Amino acid sequence: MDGRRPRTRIFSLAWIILLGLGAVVGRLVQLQIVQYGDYLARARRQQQRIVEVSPARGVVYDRNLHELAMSIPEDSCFAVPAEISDPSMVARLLSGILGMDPDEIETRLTESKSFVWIARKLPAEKVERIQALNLRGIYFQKESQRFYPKGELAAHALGYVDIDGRGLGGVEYQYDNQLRGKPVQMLVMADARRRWYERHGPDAGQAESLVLTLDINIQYIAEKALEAAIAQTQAKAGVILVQDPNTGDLLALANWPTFDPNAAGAAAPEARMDRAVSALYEPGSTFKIVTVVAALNEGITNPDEVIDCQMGSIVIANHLIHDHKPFGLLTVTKVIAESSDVGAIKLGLRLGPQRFYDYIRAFGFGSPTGVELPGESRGLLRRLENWSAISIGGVSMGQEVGVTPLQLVSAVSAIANGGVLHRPRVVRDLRACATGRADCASPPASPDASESDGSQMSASADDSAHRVVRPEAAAMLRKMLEEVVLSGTGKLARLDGYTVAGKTGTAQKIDPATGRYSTRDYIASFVGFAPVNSPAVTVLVVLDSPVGKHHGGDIAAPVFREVVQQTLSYLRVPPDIPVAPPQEAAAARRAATAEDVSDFDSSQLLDPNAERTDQMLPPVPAPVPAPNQAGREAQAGVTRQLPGGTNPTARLAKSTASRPGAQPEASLPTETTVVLDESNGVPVPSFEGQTVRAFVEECLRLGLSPVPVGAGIAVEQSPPSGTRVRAGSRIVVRFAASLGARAISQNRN
Amino acid sequence: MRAESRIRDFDWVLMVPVLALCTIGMIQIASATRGSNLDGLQWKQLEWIALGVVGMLILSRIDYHAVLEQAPVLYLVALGLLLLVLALGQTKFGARRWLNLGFLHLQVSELAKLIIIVTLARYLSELRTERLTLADLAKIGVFTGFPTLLILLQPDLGTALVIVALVAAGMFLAGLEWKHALAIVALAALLLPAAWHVLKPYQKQRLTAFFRPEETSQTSGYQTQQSKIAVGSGGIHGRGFGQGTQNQLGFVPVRWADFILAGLAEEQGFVGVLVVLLLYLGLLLRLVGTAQLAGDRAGMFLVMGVAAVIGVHVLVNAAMVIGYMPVTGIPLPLMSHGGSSILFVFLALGLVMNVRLRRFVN
Repeated sequence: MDGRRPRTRIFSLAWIILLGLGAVVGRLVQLQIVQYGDYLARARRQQQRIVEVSPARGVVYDRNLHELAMSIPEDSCFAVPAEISDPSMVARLLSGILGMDPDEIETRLTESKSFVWIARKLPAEKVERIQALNLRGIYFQKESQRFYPKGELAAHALGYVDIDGRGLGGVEYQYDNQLRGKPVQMLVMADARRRWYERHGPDAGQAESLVLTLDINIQYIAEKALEAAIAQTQAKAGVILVQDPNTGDLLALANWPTFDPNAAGAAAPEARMDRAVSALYEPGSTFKIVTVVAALNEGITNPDEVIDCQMGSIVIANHLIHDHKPFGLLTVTKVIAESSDVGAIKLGLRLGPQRFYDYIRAFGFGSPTGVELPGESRGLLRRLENWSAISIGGVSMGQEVGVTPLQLVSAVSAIANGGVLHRPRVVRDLRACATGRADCASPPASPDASESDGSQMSASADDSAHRVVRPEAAAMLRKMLEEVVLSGTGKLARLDGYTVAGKTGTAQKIDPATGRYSTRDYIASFVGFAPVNSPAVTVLVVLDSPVGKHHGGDIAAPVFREVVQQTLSYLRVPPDIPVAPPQEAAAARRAATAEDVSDFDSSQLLDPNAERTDQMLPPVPAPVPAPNQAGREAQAGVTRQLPGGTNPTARLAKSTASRPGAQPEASLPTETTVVLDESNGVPVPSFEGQTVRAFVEECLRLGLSPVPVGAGIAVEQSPPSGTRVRAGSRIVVRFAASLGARAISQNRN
Repeated sequence: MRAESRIRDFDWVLMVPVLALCTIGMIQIASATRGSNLDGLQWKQLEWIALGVVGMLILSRIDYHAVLEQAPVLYLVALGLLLLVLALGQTKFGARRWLNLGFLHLQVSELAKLIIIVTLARYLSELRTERLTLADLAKIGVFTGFPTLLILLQPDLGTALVIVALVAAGMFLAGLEWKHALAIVALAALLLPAAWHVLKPYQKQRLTAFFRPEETSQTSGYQTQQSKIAVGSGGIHGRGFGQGTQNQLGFVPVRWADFILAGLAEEQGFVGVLVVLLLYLGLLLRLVGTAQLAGDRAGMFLVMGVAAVIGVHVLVNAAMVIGYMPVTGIPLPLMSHGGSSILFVFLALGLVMNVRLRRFVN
């Protein structure tokens, strides 16, 4: 009727509202019923994220399961810029704690991102200070920080990781996938600020842990010896490798210059370079080992054959080659002992290029050894068709070939073990390991795990091992190499108590400027093994560009001696020759003991790294006997005694460190006169846990002379149980108060 | 008679949807702020509701004619307060809307809205005609235009639009002629481009975000998107109290206030929203009924003003939540957290009860 009447218009308005509500309901039907699935999916997509969660990076252990690399959680600081109202004030506060440029922080805080890192992996103290500020928009996220508890120890074998935990060198790189572990897909609820809210799904998976063949104590011995040698010779670089010749296991891999993997970024690239596997050098005379053993194995010479060394020169393909010294007639043994170039060339010529080349390849030169380390060089060995007429001469004496230290030490190990070349290994085992569990190394690796990861998993049996030379040829060469140390160029490598074989090497470096052999820069090296008849270790020492003395026999041999002597002693390898006479040793011991004391005081008790050093042998500069004197003694078969200090066992050193008043005990076992007699003699029983009285009675029953030290329960003995000793030998046993004994004495008081 | 009619005449029917909506609102606020630094905000809301109920009861006792008498004074007070808030107001989210009264950060525009309802009712009721002249329209435009302009300056576009809708509803009820209505719409369409330049950047952004949401995923368009996702993912039955992930994980913006309906839609589903909308419908129909019962035109205009404002609030808020309209920052009456908004609605309902109580007087 009348459209303008208020009552009508009220209804109109009511209808408008009803229509509006109807439209809303229609829209709700569309959104909530028709498109429900789409919107639910959209909600899920932005809230739930399938996040790949990596387990904590696996631990790297040495062969005795000491941790070399581990991951520890650390806090990283990030900001949500949208929540920060006063970026410049926040930046100033943070820069005061973090020591960063406030402008840089402010730039990050004003970025139009929902998330910016401020500082990663902060020490707890800084985290606390930032938290105390209670700043809005500043948060922390747990991240995992790689930590190398032993610092520089075995840095090159271990490698290092970047800030995101990716392995960039050493086994960290080589086994990155395994150490990283399989990421687990986890459902994570993310809030509007992209922060994790709650998580569903399995816990982080398992990363594998790595057990290296390295032994931290031997590694320490090698690194200390290398450091001392570098300091003494002013060499630019150096490598020491210690290998178990029977398995190919590397016990130590030391490089100089070195770095701390905890701060790898700060190290120069050359410090991070693993020369042991990547640096090529001309092996020089050490390569004559290959030349001679090939000739012996082919039966075209024998150790006693006399070779005319032509007074120091030989002509090959119209080229005159000079020996380093004019030699006349030498036996093949002497050719090695005196390192005659002409003699070696003659043997090489006798082999002919083809046969010689095959032996070189068989010993592993010219191809990567397959060690589990990145950046390995295959070496430099010209293909046979590229050999010039005089190549055979050069190669025979270790020129025109480039080898890596690892190739050479492995080849020499093949001689040491009787002719079998093992693939050198640095990884003993990969083990599945629940993250965060301390003793995860105990369960053995499951076989399927090793198959599935597809890497070169170190099997306990080395299937790549192959025979290179007959055992007889290797045995002959071992004798000849022993002669090098006894009477030849390697006298400074002579050991106390052990037979030793080795070969010196002094190679001129090629001057990169001229392309010719430098007259100034040399590579001095020594490679050898001990004891001669059942070698326990093969050791190679390479010193690059020493200043002053540059002969391998002069500067590398003493380093070799130091390493081998300490390593054999640490490994408790029974001495195979008599040791120095008591009086001499007593004097040496007194001197060494004095050094021991100062050494413990300075480097162990006050050293912040005492935790590390007290597990190891103290690096004692051993008084090296004059070679001629030592040689006479050895030839005369005089029973010698180990000089004190060069041979304290690790555990004794430790006990001394913890009890500074007890130095005499530490050196006592070195008085022991031990003569190895494999055929007969008395096996030393284990006295561990026995009382002084039981020990003395047992010794007297066996016809041994007991030397008890201390009181309480036997905790340490020398020689170790199982060693066969001559009747009347002294057995030193250290006794210590057990907890029970201590309690009793306290009760008496 | 008056004494005994007090309880009987009190509009219990109106109070049913009002208190139900308040309760649902509090529950939803509790869910939205659970575990956040605003935890427990629903109890604050309860205080405002209690205060609002008291205010409502007091206002329902004062004869609305007495209130209408004071319309010019109230109008001047509103203008004064609006000027004051521009001069001294607190700035939040880029707008000057609040006066700090100690116990309350008063959002002056909410009070102004109420006063404009009263003023408009007074003016329209005094016309005593059912045909509005152009001169009348111009006068209404001028006296409602001043406070609206001041509100726009804060800036508070949402409230300004609500006032425009209120004035339009009032004019319509008072007998707006269709040709005039068309002329106003045409004029508005012409002025719209000019108005664009007056808008603040964030307002422009909201508008562009609404029309091109994919280009502005992080801002206003993002809010609309997130709100729609929340609503859509609720489905028919919802995900349960405290279980709406859009809501709980902070994807829904201001989920305890302007976007409370999005959280409700997610957690209580289509059914829950339908219940709420029906409650609002019941409330509005009750208001419309009251308007028809009103003893005089002034009462009718008063009640319909309140109904228009509440209706526009509900529709605009719901339209924003379901992505029908750009984000305008308009609270959902009785449910959204906010003292000024709650107080305004209860005082407005107090006027409505007042009118209902006095329906037989004349």
